[in-house]
Amino acid sequence: MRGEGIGEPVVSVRGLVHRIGGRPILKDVSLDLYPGEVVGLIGPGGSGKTQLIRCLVTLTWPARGDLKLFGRPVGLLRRRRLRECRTRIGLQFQNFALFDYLDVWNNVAFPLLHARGMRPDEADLLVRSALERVGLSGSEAKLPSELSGGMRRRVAIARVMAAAPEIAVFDDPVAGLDPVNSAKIMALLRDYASTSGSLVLVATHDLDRLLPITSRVVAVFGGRVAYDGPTSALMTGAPDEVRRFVAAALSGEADPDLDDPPARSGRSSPGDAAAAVLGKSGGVS
Amino acid sequence: MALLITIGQMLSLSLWALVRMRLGGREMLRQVYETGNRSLLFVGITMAFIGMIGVYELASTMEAVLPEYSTLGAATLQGLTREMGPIMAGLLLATRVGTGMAAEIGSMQVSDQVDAMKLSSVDPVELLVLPRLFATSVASLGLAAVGTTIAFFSGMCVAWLGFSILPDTFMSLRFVVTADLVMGICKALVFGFTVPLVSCACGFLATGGSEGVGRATTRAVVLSSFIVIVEDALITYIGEVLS
Amino acid sequence: MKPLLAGFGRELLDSLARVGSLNVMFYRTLRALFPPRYDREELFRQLHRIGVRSLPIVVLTALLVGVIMVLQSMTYVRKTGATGFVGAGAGLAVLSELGPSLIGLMFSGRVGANAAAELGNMVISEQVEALRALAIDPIRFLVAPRFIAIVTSLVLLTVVGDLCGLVGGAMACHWLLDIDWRTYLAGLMEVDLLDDFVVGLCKAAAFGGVISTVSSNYGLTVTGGAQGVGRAVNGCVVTTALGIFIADYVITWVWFQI
Repeated sequence: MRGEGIGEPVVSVRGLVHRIGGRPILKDVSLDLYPGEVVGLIGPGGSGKTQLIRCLVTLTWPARGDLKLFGRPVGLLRRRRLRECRTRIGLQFQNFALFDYLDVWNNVAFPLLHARGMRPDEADLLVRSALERVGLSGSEAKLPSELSGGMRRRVAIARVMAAAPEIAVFDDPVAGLDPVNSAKIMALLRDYASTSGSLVLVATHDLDRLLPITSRVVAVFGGRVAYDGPTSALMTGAPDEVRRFVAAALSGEADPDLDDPPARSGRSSPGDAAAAVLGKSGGVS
Repeated sequence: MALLITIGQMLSLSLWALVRMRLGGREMLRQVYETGNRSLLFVGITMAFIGMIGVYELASTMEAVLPEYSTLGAATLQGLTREMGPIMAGLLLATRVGTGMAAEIGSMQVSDQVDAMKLSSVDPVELLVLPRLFATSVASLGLAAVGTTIAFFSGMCVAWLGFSILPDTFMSLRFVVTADLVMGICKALVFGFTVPLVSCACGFLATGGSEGVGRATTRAVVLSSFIVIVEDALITYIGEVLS
Repeated sequence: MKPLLAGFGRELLDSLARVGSLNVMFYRTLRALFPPRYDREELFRQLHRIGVRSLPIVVLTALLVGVIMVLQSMTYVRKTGATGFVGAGAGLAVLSELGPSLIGLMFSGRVGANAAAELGNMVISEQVEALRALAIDPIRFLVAPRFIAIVTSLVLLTVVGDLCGLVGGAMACHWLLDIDWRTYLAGLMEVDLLDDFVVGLCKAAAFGGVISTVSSNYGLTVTGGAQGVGRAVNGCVVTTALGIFIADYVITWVWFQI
């Protein structure tokens, strides 16, 4: 289904199947993602979100299926073309993947220096502004081991933003962040999409922060796309299991069907937020 | 199987880098210094003990077979140069440096740092493995030389104090020929090249959290020590055939 | 100069502290062995995992060590003409020295490193704390069965390895050097092998103690996630190698005094 993005899709997958050790993780996933969109990727833990992301950014090669990035089939890319492709992609890894032998400045500058081939003085401005945007000015010289979990996550986000990729993927950008910072980060992601015209894909369990900034939601359940459409139609057009999941996640209830405690972390006042979000997205009985 | 593929990839990449001479000299020197420095004390102490044990053992064998000790020093030096010096230095290198590399790269792999490098268009093999590979070969040569010397002198002390063989009798180059020296150098270079190759490959294949790092490190030390022993047998045999 | 000295002093203090905690670990393990009240099933499981599964690597290592020693003694024989040295030199070296110490080194990589990683993961995931909370002594429950299994397996594996080493030597004579393996056997029989065999087994038992103590100590003192486990395994194999050769020297020296 088409979101409010324009032009050709930057990411396009057809019939993606992925297995780990013979166990199917993704079963026949098809998606088109357009530039300028903010897409939310939701689903219970273990449903294949992270694996889908890894396939989309060319870190994992699926067993079957076609992947097109920037309009070109990726499976046929030669080594140099793959490099070229990857310089236009940014991923914030779920567990940060900060280089623990480099300080914060060098971590954020890493894609700029290596993928873009910039000189350190050219990169400096971009690095500092990215760190300022996530609220971490002044910690350039610290090592990742000296930072708290939330700060590391923000460094990882700054690393993606500094490189200004055309496909920016964030895997759990606000888990474990305090409410003020997670609201700030989410707003930052939305602004990033609208100013740069890039595709922003956000996977998270924090639905009441996610839904207000997204135009489109993709729900992955058991390795399949259970819902793909505008956020406003989520509570009317989606299948039952998605609706139940979203309602439970928004109201902060411990749904016995969900094996996913992190979904409730870092939330300020579940009731109010849920009401506000649901009011926007069309309401639910 | 996956291990063989990874090793093959790394081997071809490193040979390619060698052909194109794309090795940063400064970074290499730093790595040589670090590898050597980190292992020098360990290798030195261990080799001192090995030298002492070796002289005791060799003396007891000589006592049993040819009841005199006059060739003890020459035989010790020859055995150390072509056999015990390089193989022990190789095994100690596998223990000290190999596990370190597997642990380091393994923990980068399980925390997605290797993938982050790939996404930044950096080849992790080029950035992490190549400098270590050539640095370790050089460092291995140095460590084998220093280790052999230390072992020889500690053995000399044992011969002097335990068997009343004077140092100037013991210090005899009678048996050592150029071929022995060449063989020792070949062994040290080969061990220094394969230990990091195998260990880094084990590190890259780590999966699944801290348990995965532990498994990778264990595998690295077993495989690299074993390969050192296999290569030693092979090179010794080739030397035997050539002579 | 000052940072160099400070670094050296820190290293020295660290290693002294490590030696101390190794001794404490050894003492506590010995105390946990008596009275013998450990889980028999756990013990058998460990014996299988540690002993039986290490057999292939030990057999291969021993065969190669035999080959290497025969090839090496050949160069000496060629220079002196003492043919008896092929069998005797290689046999004695394998039985009393290289067999136990190289098998010990491989075993420390295969088993010691593994034990350190395993215990380290249990510490990181707070399983060891959980045991303490249940009033179960982790030394008695985790370390003592491993200690017995490691020492027993290493001694038995050394017996097997010695045999394989001698066979490897015979094979090298026969196929690689074109010497009749009977010459090798005759050289072997000329010397009194039993003494060397026994001293080799003593060494194996001591190495087993070293491997078990060092790996348990490093495993139970892990801090700091996946990196910590890697560091602990690295430290464990390094200290074990050092410990093996020191123990080797001490036993060789004592043997010569007797």
